[in-house]
Amino acid sequence: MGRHTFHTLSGDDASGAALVARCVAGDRTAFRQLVETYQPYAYALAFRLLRDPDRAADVVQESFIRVWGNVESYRPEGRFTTWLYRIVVNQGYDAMRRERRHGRLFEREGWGEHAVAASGSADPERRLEAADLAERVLQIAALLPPKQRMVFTLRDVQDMTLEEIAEAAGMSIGTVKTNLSYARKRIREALNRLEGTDAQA
Amino acid sequence: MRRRECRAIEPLLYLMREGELDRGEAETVGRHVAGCGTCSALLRELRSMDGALERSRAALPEHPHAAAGVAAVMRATGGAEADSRRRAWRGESSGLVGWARTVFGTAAAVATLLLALQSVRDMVQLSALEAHLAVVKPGKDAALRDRLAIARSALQQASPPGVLEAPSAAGLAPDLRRLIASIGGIGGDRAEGWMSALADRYPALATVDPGDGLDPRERAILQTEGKALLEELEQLVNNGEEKP
Repeated sequence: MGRHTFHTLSGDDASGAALVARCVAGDRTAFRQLVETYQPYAYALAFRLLRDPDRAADVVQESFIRVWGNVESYRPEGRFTTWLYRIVVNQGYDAMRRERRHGRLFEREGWGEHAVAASGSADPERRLEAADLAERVLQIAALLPPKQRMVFTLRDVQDMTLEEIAEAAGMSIGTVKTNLSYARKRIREALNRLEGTDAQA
Repeated sequence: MRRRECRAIEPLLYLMREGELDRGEAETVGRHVAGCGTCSALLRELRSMDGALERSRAALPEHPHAAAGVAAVMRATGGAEADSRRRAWRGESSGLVGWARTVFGTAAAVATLLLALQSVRDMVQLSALEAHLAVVKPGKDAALRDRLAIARSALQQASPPGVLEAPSAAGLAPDLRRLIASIGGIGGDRAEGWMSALADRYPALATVDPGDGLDPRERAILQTEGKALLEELEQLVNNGEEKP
């Protein structure tokens, strides 16, 4: 199931490449079809990176504008989705960096204590639910520095392979691994700070 | 205390999903974990975290305005008018968050605006909070978001004509008061000052019970993050005042 979002697309890739070829010739109908076909996937990716519908929609829009502006640079031997995702990831990364709030929770000392100081009343049963855990992980991930957040999201939410991430993010596999390892470490530690203080309360 | 070997192996432990370790690394980790309770516990913990995330993987988030998105791209790439139309669409779609982002991006413009207009300053703070909410707790903040939108309308209504476009919004003060009460912990004195300044402008604020609030965890996160935001905003304002 994990490969769901990324790989259901691969069957469409041939038609994606064909549509791009028509776009190069200035075919607007083909471009519309391209946007309609791939927008849902571009949006899913952007939303997972940004966790905000409006900003994700903006990123998708910017990405397709770039697709139109750069159709000539697409190489048909590569998959269209890989090319599109690289553009979306770039735009998404820029958007994350514009937030300028990343990392703050981690930089500030005593965040764990602050965040849970008043949370003794939180329902302990709820905390055990997997959905709740996932939600918390995603909330914490949203506060990681952009690069770690990007790699974590692409891997653990979007379920791309390390190779796909390296390609989309323009990183070496080694850099992807380092960022991934560090992101998970920080998320786990933040989670434990929350749970730990909860348990005492 | 964990052994030296544990520390050396730790970065690899975090790479626990299929295909993240090469064969040699996997063997090293496997051997170590087999004989180390601490590390095997960590590994189980990480796997359960990953298990919890599986559901988010299966759910494909849907574009809220798919048709408008396609139309906007077509317009934006289509011709001479494209650019201005695109901006109009973006303005509609990204709302407060987009607005706050634009503002953050152009410090000088903000500072000028803030010097000219106290109500714009209020707006910036609201917008910053909304932008913040979008980051910290998306999906769970519909009610608070609504209240921020209401507060925004109230501010628009009260600002000089033409400066902010104001939809008619009567009777919004109580909501605004509740809103401020719910985020009142942010920035201590500064928030107090902000609240009383608003109360001057919206007399009805004084009569509303401030008891309405966030859940404690949300409040705690907002306090920490909101404080940083307000500091950031204040810095923007101060920079503008130094060199107008």
